[in-house]
Amino acid sequence: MKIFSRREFLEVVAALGASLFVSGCSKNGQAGLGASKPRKPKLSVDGIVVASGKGPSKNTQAAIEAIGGIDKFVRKGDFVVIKPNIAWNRPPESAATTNPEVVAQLVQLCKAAGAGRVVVMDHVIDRPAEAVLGLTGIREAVEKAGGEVKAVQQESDYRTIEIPKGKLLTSDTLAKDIIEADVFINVPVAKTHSATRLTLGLKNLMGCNWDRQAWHQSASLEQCIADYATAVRADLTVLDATRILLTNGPKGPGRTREVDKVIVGTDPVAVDAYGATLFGLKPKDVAHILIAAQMGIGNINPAVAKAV
Amino acid sequence: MKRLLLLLLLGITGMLTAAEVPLVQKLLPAANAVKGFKTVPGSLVYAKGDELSKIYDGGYELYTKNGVIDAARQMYERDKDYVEVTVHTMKSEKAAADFLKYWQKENNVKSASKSSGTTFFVVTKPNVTLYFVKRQYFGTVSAFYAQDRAKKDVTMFSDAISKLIPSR
Repeated sequence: MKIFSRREFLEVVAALGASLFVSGCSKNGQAGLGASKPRKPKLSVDGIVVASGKGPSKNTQAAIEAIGGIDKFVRKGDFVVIKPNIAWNRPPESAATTNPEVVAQLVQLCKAAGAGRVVVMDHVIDRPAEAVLGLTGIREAVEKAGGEVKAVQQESDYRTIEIPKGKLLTSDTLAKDIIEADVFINVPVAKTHSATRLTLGLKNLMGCNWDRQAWHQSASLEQCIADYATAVRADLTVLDATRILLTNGPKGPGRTREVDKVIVGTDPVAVDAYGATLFGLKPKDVAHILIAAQMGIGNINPAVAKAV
Repeated sequence: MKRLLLLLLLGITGMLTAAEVPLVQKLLPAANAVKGFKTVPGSLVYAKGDELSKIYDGGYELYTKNGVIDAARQMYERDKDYVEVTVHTMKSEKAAADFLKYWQKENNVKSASKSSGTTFFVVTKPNVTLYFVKRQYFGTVSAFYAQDRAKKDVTMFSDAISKLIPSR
């Protein structure tokens, strides 16, 4: 056992005091020494791509090709993290979770481009997470495609990130796999949400954070979503609109509609803006999309660069 | 003597633990209450007030606004068949009846059926879900497999819950 000298003891106390002071200065008490910098996207492509009418797998493949191919984003040996919505114990036909065929196609494309590891992850809400991964069809589809599936259910799976442009959030947590990833692909499903009208790409990022409840209890959930999106930028957003949930979102069961589309873009606001129109809404009618656009995250009136 | 004291202590602890189980949680059917279905380990969730977000995430406010006080949820499995049961305590019998009507409207269901004090209806798309109300309890039973079997099973689960709800 090491016995501290008086001097060593005073140094340890001083260091502890300093670290407590720094963490106390952060708005939500999570940031401290060693917080990660915001995540920036690799590249920006104007407009969005919409693939329709070919089924989930082929729509995904066609949309990725039309945006320039997965090689544009994924290099040999890259660590890729794919974040679908697999929060709920619902099968794909419920449209409460991302279609496993869309996710599997992305895994295959990344592997074909030479990716080292491809991890598909989410912070699963329903319990137990393992049953959810089975019922959603995600585990089987992803493993068959050569990827790994991970439910990030422990606080230790997360790290603090800075949100310098945030208005309500100045720091928060982000799954450490996403911090470490060379490529991060956000793959939401398009659905209604009783608190935010819709949940698309921007809202799906909420599942990358440890403490959801803090956002719900904040002054504005919509502002938190937009704040977080200033610091957590995916390299690609792939919106699954194979089947959309029209009522009783986010979990359902509710009415669904077959749309048979996959929308891809590097601008998360643009993808969400298009997604809103699938529900007959104007993008500005969805508060967090409007706020995100006003904060300069992306374009609320995107052009469809290609329809395939 | 020591053994007796230990048994007494264990007995008291057991009684206290049982007393702490919320009433709504006791309405969840036990394993095999519906033949062949066991509970999925780790799937039980109980939540009250704002903690209902543990069950509904951001959607929970719809439930609290409509008078849900607390809720318990459990998953059941039989081979690869999954059933999800959620029972809610509402603030009153009227709130429970109104909430059932809300879901009827959401699902475009014109009329509900009645049996042994339970009012219920079943929707079959996208999955089979039975919505029911008995006294101040509102619940849903969802089954995620072939419609013919699922319809039978959700009714059996609803009957099992109904038997657990004390009559007036």
